[in-house]
Amino acid sequence: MRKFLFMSMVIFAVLIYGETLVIKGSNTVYPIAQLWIEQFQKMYPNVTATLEGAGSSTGISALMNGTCDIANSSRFLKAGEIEQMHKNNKYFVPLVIAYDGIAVIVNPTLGIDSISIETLYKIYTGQITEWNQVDPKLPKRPIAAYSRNTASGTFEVWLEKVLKGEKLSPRIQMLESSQAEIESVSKNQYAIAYTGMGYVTNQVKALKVNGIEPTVENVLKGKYPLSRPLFVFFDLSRFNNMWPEDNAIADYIRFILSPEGQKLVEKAGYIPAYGTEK
Amino acid sequence: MKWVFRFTTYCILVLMLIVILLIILPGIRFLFRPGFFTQFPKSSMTDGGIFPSIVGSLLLMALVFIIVIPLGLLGTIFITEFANKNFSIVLQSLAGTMNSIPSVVYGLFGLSFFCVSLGFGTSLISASLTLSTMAIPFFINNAVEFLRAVPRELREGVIALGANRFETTLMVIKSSKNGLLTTLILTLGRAFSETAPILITGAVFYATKLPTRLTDPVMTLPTSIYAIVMNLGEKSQWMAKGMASLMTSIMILIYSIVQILRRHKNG
Repeated sequence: MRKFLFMSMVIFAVLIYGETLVIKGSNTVYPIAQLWIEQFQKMYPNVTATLEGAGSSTGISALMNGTCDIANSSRFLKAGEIEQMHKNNKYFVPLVIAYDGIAVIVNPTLGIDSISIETLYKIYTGQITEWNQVDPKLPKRPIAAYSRNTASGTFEVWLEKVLKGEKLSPRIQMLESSQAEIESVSKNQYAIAYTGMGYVTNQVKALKVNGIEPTVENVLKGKYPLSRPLFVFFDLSRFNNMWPEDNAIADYIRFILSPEGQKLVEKAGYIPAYGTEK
Repeated sequence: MKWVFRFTTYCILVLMLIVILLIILPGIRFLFRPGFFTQFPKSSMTDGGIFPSIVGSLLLMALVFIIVIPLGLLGTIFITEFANKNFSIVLQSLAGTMNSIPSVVYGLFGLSFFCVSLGFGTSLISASLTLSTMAIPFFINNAVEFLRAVPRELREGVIALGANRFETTLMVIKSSKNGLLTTLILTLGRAFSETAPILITGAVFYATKLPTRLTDPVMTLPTSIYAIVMNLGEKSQWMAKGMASLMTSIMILIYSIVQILRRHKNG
């Protein structure tokens, strides 16, 4: 009996020791979030933080059914999600944590520097299928256009800003991740794709869009046409719709919005939404 | 005519060897990096090791082992020893059907049942229960063959000696010990390499600490490979290569053990 009591006390002690923070969501925010939780662990050793990144929609639906604490997202909530949120009496707080430009990438060997939104629209709706239709100087070869899959927030922004509600042509190949896009484009000379600016490497070339280069400055000034804010959502209804003061979620949010957290955004290759100076 | 068969067999063998070497060779040198097996991944998995993924996979295997042994064994014994003929056919085809369901369907089932309805959330326990749901039919399907292979005369002989039903069953299990052991190893091997069912039920791509409770999420080898290939840049890919070569080596080891056990049984 005494042994049993001791065992149950040990189990209880393990149960109350420390909190676990489950973070899910966007592929785009993933590299930032990983740096965040690595640093967060050092500041709050009692809290365990876990991270998964299968797409913005996955994160938001996980927040909806309670299987995560914080959702990363590269887009705002959709109308359907807001409706469902109200129906379930939940209240998701959106926090803008960074800005990101969507870079249009091609293989460096393809001789092209700049592209317009209109041309992109025509490529992704299937009106243009060969490179010489974009520019007569380019080879007469079919365009291999790639897109992210529908769980991606980047895809949603692309739908809104480039396709303007039009449907994606069935010719476009859907890829699982940003890394897969970079690899496909670096291997195929006639490929084109879009990805978060943080993912661009020197294996691929980021094009000017409407004549404007995808740089940090141009995104911050709002000149670059394909830029967007990145979000972190958490559920306020868990705290009776009061702003949480002392728990892991509150600590995490305070940290990611602090200058230190914002510095990590810069380190991951994105554009901080707030100041990085103390 | 014989050379056609010989030629195709050699072709397949060479192809398999090429595939295995292409997976193992690029990653094998990373296994000898200092701290590869003992450290946590650092700075977006560009540095450090795979310690938490190994621990996570082992924990998951231990839980699956605990769940599959009693349920799988009892189910198998019921089908071969106790159920009448028609019922055992129904049960066996049920296990066969469940065995051929794609693993991602088990993942979705686990998500809606264990994670959401039972409220376990993204956790070690949800993942191990989901994996077990998949592993039990696999175990039963294979183990039934071994129990069936025990000759009828042996059973009758034991009963004639005055053994009751329980003792007879014990004897049947004892005489097919090797078969059951190989089945168990194969089941654990399958559960070890499965990605889809745990990806949405309990695995996370990165955790800052080892899990301390059953309700904590966990990092595993297959999902870590998926995470690195899908989410991270060029500088992190070495870790995925290392893990892929480690996992392939483990699978080769498992199948070698199974072959040795099988030979032992025959010879």
